[in-house]
Amino acid sequence: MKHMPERVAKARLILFATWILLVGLTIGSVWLSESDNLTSIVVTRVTLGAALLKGHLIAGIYMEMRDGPIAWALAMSGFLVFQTTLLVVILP
Amino acid sequence: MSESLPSNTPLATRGSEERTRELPGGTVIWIFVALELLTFGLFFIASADARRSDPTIFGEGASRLHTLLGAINTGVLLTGGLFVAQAVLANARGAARSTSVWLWGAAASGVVFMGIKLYEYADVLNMGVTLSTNRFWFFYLFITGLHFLHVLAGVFFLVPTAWRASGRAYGPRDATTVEAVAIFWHLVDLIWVFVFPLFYLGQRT
Repeated sequence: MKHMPERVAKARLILFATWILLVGLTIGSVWLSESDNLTSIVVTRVTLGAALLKGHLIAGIYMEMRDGPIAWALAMSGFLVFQTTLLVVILP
Repeated sequence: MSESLPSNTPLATRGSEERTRELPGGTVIWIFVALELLTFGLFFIASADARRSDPTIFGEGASRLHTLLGAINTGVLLTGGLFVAQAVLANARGAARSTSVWLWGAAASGVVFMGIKLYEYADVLNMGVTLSTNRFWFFYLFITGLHFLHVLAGVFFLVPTAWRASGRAYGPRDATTVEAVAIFWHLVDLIWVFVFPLFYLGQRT
């Protein structure tokens, strides 16, 4: 077994890296939505894709579903994908 | 050398050989999470359907929202999410003071979020907008209002947990409460990451 301080340092790093990614995806989405060169449909699809990725990061790492029961992890992931797909199909 | 950890030790500090695929925070909070995601999911689909029927009204409504404030609030919630995740980690190593500080930080992020949101609501109400103005404002006020109540509930859960954590009420062998509160806060984050693009981004008149 690894020493606890080493594990804690690694876990902290993962949590912080996840936060950087989440904030980066948010800034990227805002920047994209302000772009004049893209159509509404492209912006909607890409920003919802970013939201799906953010949802997976929150569920998988912050909520620890990547280490949770496989059935729950699959149900959560499947729901997020299904919801995003449905939104992309419905939205103009 | 191998040293086994109690079954209720938070997953964050376990090695890969010790993963037991348990639900952090217990099953009840996860059933709640599932119901909440389904409920908000239905509201998202209903608002998307309304937007497809009337893209002009949705475009006009979205153009009156503060994208920058929405983005800042997203960052505030995500930072609160980082804080509660750090609290779970601190609790797993028995650091009572750190656990408490991180939880207070998360509660503060919730208060900041609500302050910014109330400013946005005041701005919208000053424009004479109500729930019955049109379908954009109905869905925006209803969904963000419901989410606002969840943030408020999250702060009400975080404050007593932070208070009790400072008195060593929790720890590596009693992590369920801290984990359950953290899961609730992450749920609030998870819902918002879909609210933000649906109402603030990508709608043009």
